[in-house]
Amino acid sequence: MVRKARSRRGAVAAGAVTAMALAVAACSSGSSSTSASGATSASGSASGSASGGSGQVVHLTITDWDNGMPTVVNAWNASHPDIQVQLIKPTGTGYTLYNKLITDNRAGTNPDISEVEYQALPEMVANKVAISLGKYLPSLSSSYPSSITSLVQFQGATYGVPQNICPMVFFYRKDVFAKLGLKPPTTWAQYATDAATIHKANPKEYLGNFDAADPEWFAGLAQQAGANWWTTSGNNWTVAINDAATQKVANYWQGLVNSGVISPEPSWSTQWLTDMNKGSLVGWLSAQWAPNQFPTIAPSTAGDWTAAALPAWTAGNSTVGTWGGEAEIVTASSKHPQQAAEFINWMNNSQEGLNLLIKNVAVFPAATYAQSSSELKTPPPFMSDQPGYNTLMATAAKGVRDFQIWGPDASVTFSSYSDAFASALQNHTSFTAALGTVQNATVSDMKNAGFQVTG
Amino acid sequence: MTIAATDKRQPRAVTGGPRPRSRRRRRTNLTATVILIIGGLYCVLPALWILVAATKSNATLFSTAPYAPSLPGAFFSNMSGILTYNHGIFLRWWLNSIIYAVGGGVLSTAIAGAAGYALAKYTFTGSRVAFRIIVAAVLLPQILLAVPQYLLLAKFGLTNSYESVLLPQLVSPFAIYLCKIYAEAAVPDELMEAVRMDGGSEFRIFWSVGTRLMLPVLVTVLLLQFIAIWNNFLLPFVMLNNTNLDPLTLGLYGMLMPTGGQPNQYSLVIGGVFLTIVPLAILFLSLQRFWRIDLISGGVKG
Amino acid sequence: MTIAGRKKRSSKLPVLLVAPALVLLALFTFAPAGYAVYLSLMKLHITGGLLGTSSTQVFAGLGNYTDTFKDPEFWHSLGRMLLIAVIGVPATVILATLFALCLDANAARLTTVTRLAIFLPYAVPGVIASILWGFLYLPATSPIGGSVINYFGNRLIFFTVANVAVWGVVGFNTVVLYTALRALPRDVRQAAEIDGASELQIALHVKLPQIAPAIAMIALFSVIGALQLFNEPTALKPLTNAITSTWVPLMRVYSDAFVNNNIYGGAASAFTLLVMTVALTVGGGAVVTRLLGRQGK
Repeated sequence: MVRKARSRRGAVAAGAVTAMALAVAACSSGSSSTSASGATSASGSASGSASGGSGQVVHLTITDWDNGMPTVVNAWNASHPDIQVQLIKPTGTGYTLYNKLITDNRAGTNPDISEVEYQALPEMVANKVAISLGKYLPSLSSSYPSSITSLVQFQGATYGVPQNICPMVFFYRKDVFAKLGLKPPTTWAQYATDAATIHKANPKEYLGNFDAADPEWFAGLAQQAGANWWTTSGNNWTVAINDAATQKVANYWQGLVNSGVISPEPSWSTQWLTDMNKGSLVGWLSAQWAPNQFPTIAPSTAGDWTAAALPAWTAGNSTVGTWGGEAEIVTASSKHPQQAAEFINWMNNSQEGLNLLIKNVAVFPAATYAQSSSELKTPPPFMSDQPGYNTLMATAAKGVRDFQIWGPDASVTFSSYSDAFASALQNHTSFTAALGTVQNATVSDMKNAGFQVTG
Repeated sequence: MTIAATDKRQPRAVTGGPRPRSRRRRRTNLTATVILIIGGLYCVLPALWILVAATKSNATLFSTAPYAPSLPGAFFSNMSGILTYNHGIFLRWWLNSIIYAVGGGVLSTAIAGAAGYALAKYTFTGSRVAFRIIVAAVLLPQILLAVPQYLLLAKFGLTNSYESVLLPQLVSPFAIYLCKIYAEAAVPDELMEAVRMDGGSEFRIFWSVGTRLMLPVLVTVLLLQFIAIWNNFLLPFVMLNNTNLDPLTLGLYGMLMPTGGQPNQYSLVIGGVFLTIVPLAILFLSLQRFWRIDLISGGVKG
Repeated sequence: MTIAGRKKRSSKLPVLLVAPALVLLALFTFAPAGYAVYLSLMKLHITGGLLGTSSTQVFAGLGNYTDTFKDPEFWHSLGRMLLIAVIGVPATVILATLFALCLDANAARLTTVTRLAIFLPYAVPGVIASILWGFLYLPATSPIGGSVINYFGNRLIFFTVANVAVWGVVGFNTVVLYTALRALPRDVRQAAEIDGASELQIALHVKLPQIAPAIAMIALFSVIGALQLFNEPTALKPLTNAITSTWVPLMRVYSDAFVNNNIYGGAASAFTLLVMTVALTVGGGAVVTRLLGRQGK
């Protein structure tokens, strides 16, 4: 918790610093045409803040759960004496946090800024937690590919500044593969064959596990297959969680689980951690951030893992789904939305901010200009013997396909997925039936809340 | 009264009284001893696992036999790891737990003692109704109330603060009940009358006579409340949204939840659990003699 | 100790002494329950636009309650909780009584050490105890046969969860009963000894009836605790597919309010659970009192 209240020399000096910071941010965020408009908005907001009050420091609070954030926030505070940001690490993450944000929003006690995953953003917007950033950051979308901007824009308004992109990646034990003479599978058919080979050679080994505890993992696989769990037309929602693409994915995995070549254990359990560490699991369908996790998951296996592109449904197809990914929002409780927008624009949409994030939080930036940053030349420590790791990420990022839109109650969908699929694994029942349960739960919740839903 | 009678007996009972200790024929009750040993093992062995696991790093934690300690192992690196984790937030969690449990314990004991004394020694308008309300509240499931408490406090914007965890735990109906029945038995009306004759105010009677005589039940209630608040998970879990305010259990639990950028830290958590349980166990053992847990069952007899 | 002697010239002190307790009870026990009732009759209605341009809280009547009662999962969770209570409460009471009687037995050895050992789990918070037992149950790290016995199987899971809870509280309950035993008058026991009664007979016919009220009390508190089961299943959930997010009723309350953004449904299930808990404990207490009354206690 760093708060440095520095005395201001004068309104002009502070205004100049702010203007310079904004100009730097605007310049680094795109072409000259946008920097012109960026400069215009910079001077506009500079005069705004200058006239806003002399000798006043604006204090902002941000809720962010990532390790390594203090360094990022400290860097901003050091160079922005008039906008001081305090970092709060939330007690619970995921929907525990989001639901508290929603409930506390009614009393107006939320922090100024919060980290929010892409899949939860529509729920935040529907509950009036996130405000529109259009008037503070008009040229935001130029930094990102459309697959990313569609995650933060709804009906013409932008509600968050995207931070990172988390393409799904396949990690495998190169030593085990070498011993069995296998090459990493490039198609799902090959993956199934490899899984069988590995399990047959050693009944204690599995190529991977079906994870009922991580709905986003499954959603990412469905995205790759071409699913769109939610689609909209005008003000109408259509929900199709059990569409053909998703059923294809579910049936594929049902086959693998039924034949016993894939472990049914949930990821992150102590059983799973032991399996990964001792080599009972020799593959993991994960995402870009996995190297951050490996040192505590499977420290005994350092140096044995290699990252490869996720298997595809047809050979040569580079479409992959995502698992994770966050944006920063400005909340409706914020009394300084202008400055809050400034900060998150610096953090997620400037070379300087992104470099700090890459270095300290190990993100892979969503902003395309930052994907060739020098900070990305070195691989994460756990993958030190794969120097091209981040190049692989950049390639994977190009093939990312997310849902067209996430629903306004993804929390219900996720919790229903966990329960339905855990039950299916426990009781050896049908995955397709479980998908139906998830579909029904989502639709009835949306209808109950008043959304216009078909299907 | 039962409690007064118990008082007389208690010292003798604790020190063994007239039991045949130093006799020639000492037949050991094998059955009872064996049952106790089994019970003791059942209770201790899992806790012992924490001691063993605290010596292991993540790598050995998930690859070696559970009760095989790792020597010299990672004990010290786990200890220093948890103490330096996230700029020393573990110590902050310790401090928070003490604020909640000691602060909450002391305050709730004071409130319970005062209310119990008043209900025991005075009859005033509404005192009967008040006591009935308190007895009824004993039956209310305290843990379940955490969620409605959160919803109510959230409406007024009061969540995510020290008060939001302290205030709901300041009143324990059972503690008030205990204090009331103890005060009834232990604070004699004659003594109060004597002080009144001497010109003492009611407050003086309460402060110098009442609280002194009620000391045993106050200590018991304090320890009961301390433990209840220390172990409470759901209330801080729903009220708080800032790791700086977390008590120990909540903070350690949060370290086990992985998110994309932040792995779960089992070996550090186990180190933290070790540092939580050991002081608490020492506290219990050393304060054993001050427990008057017979007061709890004495409450039923009364 | 006469009534006349009790009633004093009126003093404001007793009211002042009781006031904080009553105010706090009103604010933090009864008001939240009342607010939960209010919320349970409401729901959120979103209108306009794709993501809702306006959301208002509207009266929902008993809709939340009917949703809860019509949901088979609610009844399943109730059943599971009752099953765990049926396993756990008798286990706690029986074990605590057994250990207390053994500690109090005339020639039992190692009582100090075992008493401390039995009390130790009370120092371990429930969530931590669950994580610890998780290591002991899962096949990969289990020293108690986890690789052979599936502790998280559909049948065993109830014993698995009950065990963690029982383990945590048996020590405290043992100590309560033990001190009750120590406080009993010695004369009846000595008379029975002189008459030649065995230790077991004394335990069953002399000691047990005399501590029956204490046993009833720990049974009552165990039941109240069992009805609010939350910590253990929540902490064990990430380890297995056997525990869902609404496995026991209090988890459902939590899930409604903190996962599914349905504070109205959560308030309804919370209040339902509240009423059921109070009814069960009052009913159970009445039954026990009747039984004890028959014994002439």
